[in-house]
Amino acid sequence: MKKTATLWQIIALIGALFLPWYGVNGGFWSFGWVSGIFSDPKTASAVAQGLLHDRWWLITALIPLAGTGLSLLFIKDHKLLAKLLVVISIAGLVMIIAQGFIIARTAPRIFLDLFVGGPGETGQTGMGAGAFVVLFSQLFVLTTGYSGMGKGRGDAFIVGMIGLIVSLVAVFVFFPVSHILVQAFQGGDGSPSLAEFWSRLSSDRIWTLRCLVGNGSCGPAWNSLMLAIMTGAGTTLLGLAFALIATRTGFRAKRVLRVLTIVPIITPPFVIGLALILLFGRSGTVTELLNTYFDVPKTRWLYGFWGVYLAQLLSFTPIAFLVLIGVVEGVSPSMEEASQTLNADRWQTFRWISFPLMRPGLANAFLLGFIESIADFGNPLVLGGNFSVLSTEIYFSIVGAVANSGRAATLAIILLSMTLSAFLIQRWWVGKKSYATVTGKADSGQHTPLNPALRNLCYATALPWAAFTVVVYSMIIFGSFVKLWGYDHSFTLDHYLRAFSVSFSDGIRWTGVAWDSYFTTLTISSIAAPFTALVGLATAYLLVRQKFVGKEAFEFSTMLSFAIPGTVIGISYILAFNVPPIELTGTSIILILVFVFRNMPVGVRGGIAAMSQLDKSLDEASNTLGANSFTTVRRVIIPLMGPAILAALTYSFVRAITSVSAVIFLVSARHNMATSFIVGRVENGEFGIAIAYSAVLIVTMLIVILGLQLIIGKRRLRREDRLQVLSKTPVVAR
Amino acid sequence: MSGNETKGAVRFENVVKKFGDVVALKSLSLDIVPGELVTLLGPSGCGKTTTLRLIAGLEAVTEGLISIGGKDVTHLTATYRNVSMVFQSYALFPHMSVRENVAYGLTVSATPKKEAFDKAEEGLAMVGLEGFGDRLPSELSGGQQQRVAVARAVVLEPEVLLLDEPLSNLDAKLCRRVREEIRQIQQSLNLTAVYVTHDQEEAMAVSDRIIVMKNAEIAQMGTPADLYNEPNSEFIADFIGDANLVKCDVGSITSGIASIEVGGVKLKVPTTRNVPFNASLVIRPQNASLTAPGKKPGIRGNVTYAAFLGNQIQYTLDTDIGKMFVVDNTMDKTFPVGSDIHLLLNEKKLALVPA
Repeated sequence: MKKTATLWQIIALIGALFLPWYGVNGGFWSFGWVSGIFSDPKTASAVAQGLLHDRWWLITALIPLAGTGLSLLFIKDHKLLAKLLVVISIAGLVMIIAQGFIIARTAPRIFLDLFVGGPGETGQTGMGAGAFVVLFSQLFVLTTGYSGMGKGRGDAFIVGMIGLIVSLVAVFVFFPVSHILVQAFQGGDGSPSLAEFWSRLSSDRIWTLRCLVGNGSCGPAWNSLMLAIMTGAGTTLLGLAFALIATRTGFRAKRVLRVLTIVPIITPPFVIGLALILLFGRSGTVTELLNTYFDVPKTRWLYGFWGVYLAQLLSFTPIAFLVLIGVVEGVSPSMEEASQTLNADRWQTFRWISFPLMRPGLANAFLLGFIESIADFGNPLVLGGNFSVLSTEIYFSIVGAVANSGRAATLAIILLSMTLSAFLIQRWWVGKKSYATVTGKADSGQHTPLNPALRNLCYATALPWAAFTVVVYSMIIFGSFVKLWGYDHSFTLDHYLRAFSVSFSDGIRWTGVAWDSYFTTLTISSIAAPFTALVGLATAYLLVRQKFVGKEAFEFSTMLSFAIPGTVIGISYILAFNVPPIELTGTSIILILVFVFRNMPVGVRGGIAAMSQLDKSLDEASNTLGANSFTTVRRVIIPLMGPAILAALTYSFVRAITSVSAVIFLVSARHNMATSFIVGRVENGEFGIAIAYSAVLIVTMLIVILGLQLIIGKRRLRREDRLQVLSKTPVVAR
Repeated sequence: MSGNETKGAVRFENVVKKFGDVVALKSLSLDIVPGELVTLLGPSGCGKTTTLRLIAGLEAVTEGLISIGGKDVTHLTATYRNVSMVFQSYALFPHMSVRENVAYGLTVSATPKKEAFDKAEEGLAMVGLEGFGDRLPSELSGGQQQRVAVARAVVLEPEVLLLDEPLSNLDAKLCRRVREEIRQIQQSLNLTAVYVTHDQEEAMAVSDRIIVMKNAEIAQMGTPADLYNEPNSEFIADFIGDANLVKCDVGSITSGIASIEVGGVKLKVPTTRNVPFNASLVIRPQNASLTAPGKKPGIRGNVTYAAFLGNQIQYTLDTDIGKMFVVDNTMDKTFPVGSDIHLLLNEKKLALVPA
């Protein structure tokens, strides 16, 4: 314990002495701060700030750091040392965090007023590298001491990991989300006001039902709810039809169905909306055809409920299909065979055995569709028109003519409570009711084919829909190559040239308008992906393999961010990280952070699934053979988790590229992302560029996915190579 | 390899283990002598695997002390205990070759790779798997995998070797061979070994001593012969070998012989007690024989089922003292189903347990 704690103590000291305490203008990696590490009040380290630049409270906050240092030097008794480390480092963490909040740029300067007499010039900006190094190493001194007390079975690695993930989730999920609450309760003068919150919450603009009685439109709350229920039901039915076809019929092109489930994952959320506009918009192909041949008047019906609904069905049916194919396959064939031997016909078997067994899975798919729909931002933004839903209303409350963060926060609370309720229902009600019929016993037998009527019904629903999906996607390709959709259908490369042209006149110059955001997107996504995978898989490891107090709460809180819509995360990040002590808005770090913590549940789920398939006795064998938990993770878990790690990397990379809802609040002129750039083009009516850019993004992601798949493939090849070599060498004994 | 006498000794002092509200072990105390093979035997859920995992350090005690080799290891995790374990599933690392698997314990404790691989090769030779080092575990048969698991545990020269149902995935014939090999390795290396199984025949075949567990505590411990001949309860009598249990009245006890009466027949049965008690008579199936009625005074009965197995005949009987299961190894005479018989008991081989 002592060695580990001393190491972290030294790192903390380095952080306090030789790293800039506050955020540095130009960025940490420019190292512009090195020369002024003691002398410049902007870039000085904590100790220098305290001694030379009147920020004496930093010295006070660092006293506990000296305390842990002295304890490590002079206390010999193991137990006493452990306890001292825990107590003193907690004090240190509390003091550093407290000074960050109390002595801010804008907050009342209690201490200064008391001691200096009147406000001074010494308020502080957001914390920087030094502060974070000190905070994290103090945290690890704490966890090391805690494990030294015999807690967590004395395993410093595990306790440290738990401590790290808990604090990361607290700082980057709970802390920002709590800002929404604060903001929603804040009155016009900045003081908390329940009345203000109540008047915002019960506002007629949110809850009006005018679309049902009389004319006019309903409030966004009702719109969101209605849309979500219909999308949940629609995607579940379509997904079930596809799942039944894939498992219970002799349908030949099953592989095509599987491909259709992957494509939407790499499609930015509003792209389907764009393609729908090309088909059904006022000058869309279908609209034109109907107008020419049947005299159907051109209308703007697409911009509203039906357009959004159609786009969401297209976007989320694959998710339902993925969920339901597991459910449908999970119904053990032997149950159906048992039913048939008991003289039930196919329809009776389906009606009384298979369907009831699938019911919890159906509920699950419905709730997933519900959550996805209600959190969806891209489609309503592109197609919503006057049909306003909560997620877009939040956006317009922030970026609209009159920024009203109080209203945005209130809407966010309503949205959050809807998704959270669905999430809780899914976990506690559906979760408990699921009939796991996958027993691990070899289950021979075949699934009963559907009875003909049901089969035809499935074909009739699913196949036209699949064809429709194909048409929609091909629109994305066609649309990017024509001059002006609906008016001038001549072939052109103009859109690609405008977006992605390169000039070689003097060196390579990236002259296209899209390059900037394209590179930013790739960079940020590829930085975020490994962190997401790391945090997600580490959490999964703790959840599956370790026992500790509060594990259920821990699991719940890590899964929670899955239920928080992107718009809510986005607004909470700008509310929380716009002011000291953590000032991140306008940086690329905030984009990376939002991706990491928004996509973390995906990594956690993938990790849990992969980890559950690794027999726990592998870890235990490694432990009894004398390996500690760190070595076990390094030499046994990680090599065996290879595919899961790659899957988590791919998925978080792709999600970072395609996400728009959270990002749109957090981009800045310097760090613009592809999706928000495209949304900007759509808002300007430049569909050609928007679609060309989307197509490029999709191709980029396909290349990355295929590249990563090749790496997995290589791994397998290597093993096969080894086998072949083996079989050539003669083996004597048998 | 120090000359320390306590090396390999395992001691439990009032160890309690709870999982939440479920008590897995109620105050267990036991001593395992260096060099012996002790089996933990019992029905599933009796706490035998928990006991093993507590020795390994894979579970933490709720209360009590555990020492290994005279050293208190209660708060050490598996990593820091000098024990190794053979798992029921073998737990071979699928991504490492057989050699890497066997050398794993050595390499993680910073043994140079060359030396570790040499030792691994010795370990493989010991279990008869020379030349298999380059294979992956998935390319071995079940029995071979099992031996790799043993080699991997043994090359570390642990103080205590733990085996968690090591044979449960092997078929019956292989099972007998492998358990002999395990026993030979254990004896030749003079290792202390703790073996968990639910199969009483396996336990009797390999053990110096058996600890039978039931409901989270020890029911009885002793050599296989002790347990078979002198069970201390109906549970042990029934669990170790087959037994017919018959309630009986104990008349008097004089110098280790109890006078009892069952089914109208008076018997003298050895006992360790000296005060009459509420007893059940333990009749092993081979300690009773069938005769035609009338010749000798026996317990009256009727054959309800007879099975000819070649080397023996198994009878199920309806008798005055209840349903009986009897095995006839002599095969002098067969009694068809329905015949009336008299049952004769071999007094010296009977035992009394508290009812």
